[in-house]
Parts: sequence; C-alpha cells; structure tokens
Amino acid sequence: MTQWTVLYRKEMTEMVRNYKILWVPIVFILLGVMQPVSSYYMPEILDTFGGLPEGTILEMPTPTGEDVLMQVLSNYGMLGVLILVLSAMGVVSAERQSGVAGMVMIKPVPYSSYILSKWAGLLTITLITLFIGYAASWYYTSLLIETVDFERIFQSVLIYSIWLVFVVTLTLFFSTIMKGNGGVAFVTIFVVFGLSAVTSILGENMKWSPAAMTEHTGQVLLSGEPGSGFLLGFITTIAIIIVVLIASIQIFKQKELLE
Amino acid sequence: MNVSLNEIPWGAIAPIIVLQLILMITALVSCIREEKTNGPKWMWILVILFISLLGPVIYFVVGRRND
Amino acid sequence: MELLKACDLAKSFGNTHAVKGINFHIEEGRCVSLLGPNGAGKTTTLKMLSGLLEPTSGSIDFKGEKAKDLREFIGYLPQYPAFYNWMSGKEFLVFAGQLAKLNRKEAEIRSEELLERVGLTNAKKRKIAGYSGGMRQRLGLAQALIHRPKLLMLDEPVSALDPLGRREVLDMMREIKEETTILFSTHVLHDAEEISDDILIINAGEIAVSGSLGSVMEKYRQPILHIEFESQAADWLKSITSYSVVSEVDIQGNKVSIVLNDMVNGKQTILQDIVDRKLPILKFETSQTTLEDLFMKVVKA
Ligand SMILES: Nc1ncnc2c1ncn2[C@@H]1O[C@H](COP(=O)(O)OP(=O)(O)OP(=O)(O)O)[C@@H](O)[C@H]1O
Ligand SMILES: [Mg+2]
Repeated sequence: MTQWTVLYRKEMTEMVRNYKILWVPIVFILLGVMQPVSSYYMPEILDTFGGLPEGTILEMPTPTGEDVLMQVLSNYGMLGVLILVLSAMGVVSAERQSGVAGMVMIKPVPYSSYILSKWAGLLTITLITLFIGYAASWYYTSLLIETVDFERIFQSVLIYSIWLVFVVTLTLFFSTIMKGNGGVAFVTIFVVFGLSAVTSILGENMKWSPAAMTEHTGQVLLSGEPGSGFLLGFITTIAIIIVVLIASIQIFKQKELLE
Repeated sequence: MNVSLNEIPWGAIAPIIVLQLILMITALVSCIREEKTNGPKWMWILVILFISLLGPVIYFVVGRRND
Repeated sequence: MELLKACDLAKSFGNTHAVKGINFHIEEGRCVSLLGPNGAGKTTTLKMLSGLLEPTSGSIDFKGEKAKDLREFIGYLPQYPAFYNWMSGKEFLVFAGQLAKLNRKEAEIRSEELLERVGLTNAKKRKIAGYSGGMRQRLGLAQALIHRPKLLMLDEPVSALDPLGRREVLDMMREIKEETTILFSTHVLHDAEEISDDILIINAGEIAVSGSLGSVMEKYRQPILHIEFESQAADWLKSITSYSVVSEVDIQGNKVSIVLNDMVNGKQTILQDIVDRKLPILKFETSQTTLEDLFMKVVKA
C-alpha cells in the first residue's frame, strides 16, 4: 500500500470519527428537499399564515421542476459552499498548527502525497454530499412538482460538481498557505463569492471563469444544453485546479512543519 | 385559519424531521463525547437543541476542536 | 564508521543566525548528546539533519554520500510531539509505520513490540487525547523507532517529564543505544553525562566543545577546592587570585570554589595560608570540575 493510500484512508477514518461524513450530507439533503417542499406548499402557507386581504387572487404560477432544482442549486451555491468551506478550512492548517503535519512529514512521505490525499478526501466528501443531496432534491421534486428528465439532472450535477471541486481545491490551497482556520475560510469565501459576482456581472468576458460552470448548470437544466463557451470554461477550470494543486504542494514543501 | 393534523402531508415531512433529528443527535453525541469544546459544553448543548438545523451545523463548524 | 557528517551547516531566520556554520560528525553506534542553553540552536540543527528544514548553507553527508532525503533512515522525536488525538496509541503507531513503508502486517507486529517496550500495552486502545505527558513522550519515542531507523534523533526527550518519567525514558534510551545510533539534545547535563558516549556543546549557534565524553572531561578537567568558612574571608580570597596555582575563584557567600592549575601544589599553598592566618573554616574539600562546570564556563564565555 502506498503512503498516499494510507493517508487517504486516514482522511476517511477521520471524517467518520468526527461525523463529518454524516452531517455534511444531511445538511445538503435538507437544503435540497426543503426547496421543493416549500414551493409546493407556498400557496397554502401564504393562505394560512400570510393574512392576505379577502379576495386577493393569487397569481403565483406553480414553478416547474426545473425552476425548483435551479433554486436548489442556487442554495447550494450560497449556504452549501459556505458549509463546505467551513468544514474543510482546517484540512491542512489545523494539522500544521497542532504540529502533527510535521509528525507525518518526518516519515519518508512525498509532499505531493500529503496534499493529494487531502484533496482526494475533500473530493470524496464533496461529491458524496452533492450527489446525495441533489438526488434527494430530485426525488422530492418529482414527488411534489413534476419529474425532471434524468439526463438533465445527471449532466447538470456533473457540471456543478466541477464548480464545487474548484471551491474545495481553493480551500485546500488557502489552508496550506495560511495558518488560522478562520482566515482560511474568510479568504476562500471572499475569493469564491467575488469570482461569482464578477462572472455574473461581466458575463460575456468571463466565459473562462470557473464560476461560469454554475450558469452552464442552469442552462443544462432548462434546455438540456450547456451555454456557449462551456468547453472554454471547462478547460480553464480544470487547468486552474491543477495549477492550484501544484502550487499547494510547492508551497507546502517550503513551510516549516515542526515547531 | 387552522390546519388540521390530517392535512399535514406526513409522507413528505416525516423524512425531513427524521433527518433533522439525526443531525441533532449526532451533534449531541459528538459534543458530549468530546473531551473539550471551544466554549462551555452546556452552551453548545443548548445551541444544538434549540436552534434547529443551524445549531448542529454551528456546533460542528466552531464548537468542535479539530485535532 | 562515520554515519553522518555536517559541513558548515548554517541557518538564518532573517537577521537571526540560529546556527552559524557548524562542523561535526557522528560515528555509527554512538550515543551523542547535543548540549546547549535555550536558544543555542539545538532544535534548528536537528531539524536540518532530519531534512524538514532547509539549511541556509552547508551540507550533510550520510554514510559518506551527499544526503538528499534522509527521512527513511531517521527516527525523529520532536521537542513537542503531536499526534492525531482521535486515534488510539496503536492506531497511530501502525499509521506511522505504514508511512515509513512497512506493510500493514509488519507495522502491526512492530507496533505491538514497541508498545510493549515503551510500556503502553495497557493503554494501546485508548484515545491519545487522554494520554498524559509522559505517555505521549513514550508514544513519540515508539513512533520514531517504528521503522528501525539508522539514526534516532531526540529533541529534549526528557525535559518535559517528571523525575519518574525522566528515569523511564533514560532507561529506554540506554537500551536503544545498544542497537541504534542516537543523537539527542538536552540541557540537563546530568543526563548527558549518564548515557552519552560523545558530546557536542553548542552555544549561540556555534560548536564550543566536542569529542567523546571521556576525552572532553579529561581535557577540560581541573582540580577544584570547595571551602566553607564560618564568616566571610573576602580579603584573603582577593589576595589568592594572584597565586600562580590558582586559576579561578568563585565566591558564593561563605563558600568558595577555587579552580587550581595543579592539585598537589595548590592544595598545599592554600592549606598553609589557612593555617598561617588562622582562618575559621567549616569544610575543606577537593574534587574535579564536572561537565556542569565546563558547560557554565563555555556558555558564559
Ligand atoms: N522559525 C524561526 N523563526 C525565527 N527565529 C527562529 C525560528 N526558529 C528558531 N529561531 C531562533 O533561532 C535560535 C535557535 O533556536 P532553537 O530552537 O534552535 O534553539 P534551541 O537550542 O532548540 O533552544 P531550546 O532549548 O529553547 O529548545 C533562537 O534564537 C530562536 O529564536
Ligand atoms: Mg529546542
């Protein structure tokens, strides 16, 4: 067994022992199913609790299944990203702070194995979480609203997962270069949300941006096809992920690991 | 103005409640078994019990010491 | 045989020159202590040898060849060992063993062996979070030994322990040194004197004294007189500094330590003086300077 496998197994065991493997997916499932439920019952809820004046005609078009799932993804884009980043912020920094990263690296472990095992661990939890949460959301939507074509679901979640992989890779990077967990989360969130905002404002000029993946996700859901410039965005996102990983490994090598 | 119990769609709501409960219990178990939390333990227990969904999440993110 | 050699090894942190180009070598099979006061550069030196800290300049040879990555051959116990506190003691050892390229089976066997050896067998299934300082130190020693390293480096292995824990760890080191070359840092001179074959005294980033314990003691050993008076005898003590046999006078209240160049003549002269002047003495003792005296002299110089 290579050292990478040993380290990856340690990552997974740790996630089981600290319940991360349970609570992060549950939160995503809840975020995912509450949307179809509240869309479905919205008219009744308004009716019961809204106290609308007598005779008001509710002009609320029932949303389509695609609309609901779009809304779910947008919730994942805000709260979901926040939770993923917060749960991953200490991935390297906490181990550097406690000194245990030094205890690992004092053994003949390649620096790349350490960082890549962390990355694989983050990818595992992120993808499990996204797929389970989104599947639950899809199930509820088809139960309460209407069935959305599976192919669209599948394609959209794949495209969306690229964005989340980008987000956790960035978290890993900042966790490697900084020491305070809070700072890591703050900077990552700032960069991620900043990039999203700039991408949606500049639109056409930002087709290469990883944040454009979220827009393609929506397009696939609504029309079955990603928007124009998907390939460009896809390639640059993958390229950025690779570059950020290599940079993380190189920077990790330079860090002083034993106190 | 009043909703009768029968009208509540239990089939759809029950799994949500169950998941919330699992989340809460997991957080409680983790909190109680933890040697030390960031901040007083009793406060975290209250947070987990009385702030639904967000309480356990906040506990897991800031209450646990990660080592 | 020479196991490891450091040539002009230096490390600076900005303007702090922690280690200023030191040269030394370690013979295979020896137990070497690295002595120095706080901030002398002990930890920095060990970290450079371990490969976790890049030297600013200089080189390290291992078995006569330029070292690239020595981690495979080195077991290291940091000054403040850290663990995954959610693991049990045994889990951590198996984990460390696998990182050091043992397969799972070997790692398991070796872990059990070492747990036994460091006296943690009963606690092996408990979470490390609940270990005491002494237990953590012993676990740290076990993880350093897991892959049968050629060189064991221990950074202040006993400084943080109570007398009992210190005794335990020293006894373990005495056993280990039969099989492995050891380099350990300490500022407890007594420990160095007790178990090391060679010593390196480092001060302010430079090596002040080095050699085998015996030869260093031999070389720097000087006869010394300890005299205790009923009352202070400052006048007389001031006068004896001019005697040629007296090399140093250290007065502490009514007690005085006089380092002599020659025991026989010195003792004679001093005793004669005391008798002539009818100085009221309580105690008169002859002895040799210790490692501590040497250390103090080096550090203060
Ligand atoms: N990362 C660092 N950045 C800046 N200065 C450092 C760093 N590490 C060590 N130093 C400085 O280098 C000098 C030597 O430190 P070192 O830790 O090697 O001493 P030491 O002999 O191990 O001391 P101690 O007995 O206290 O452990 C000290 O002056 C210390 O302040
Ligand atoms: Mg030190």
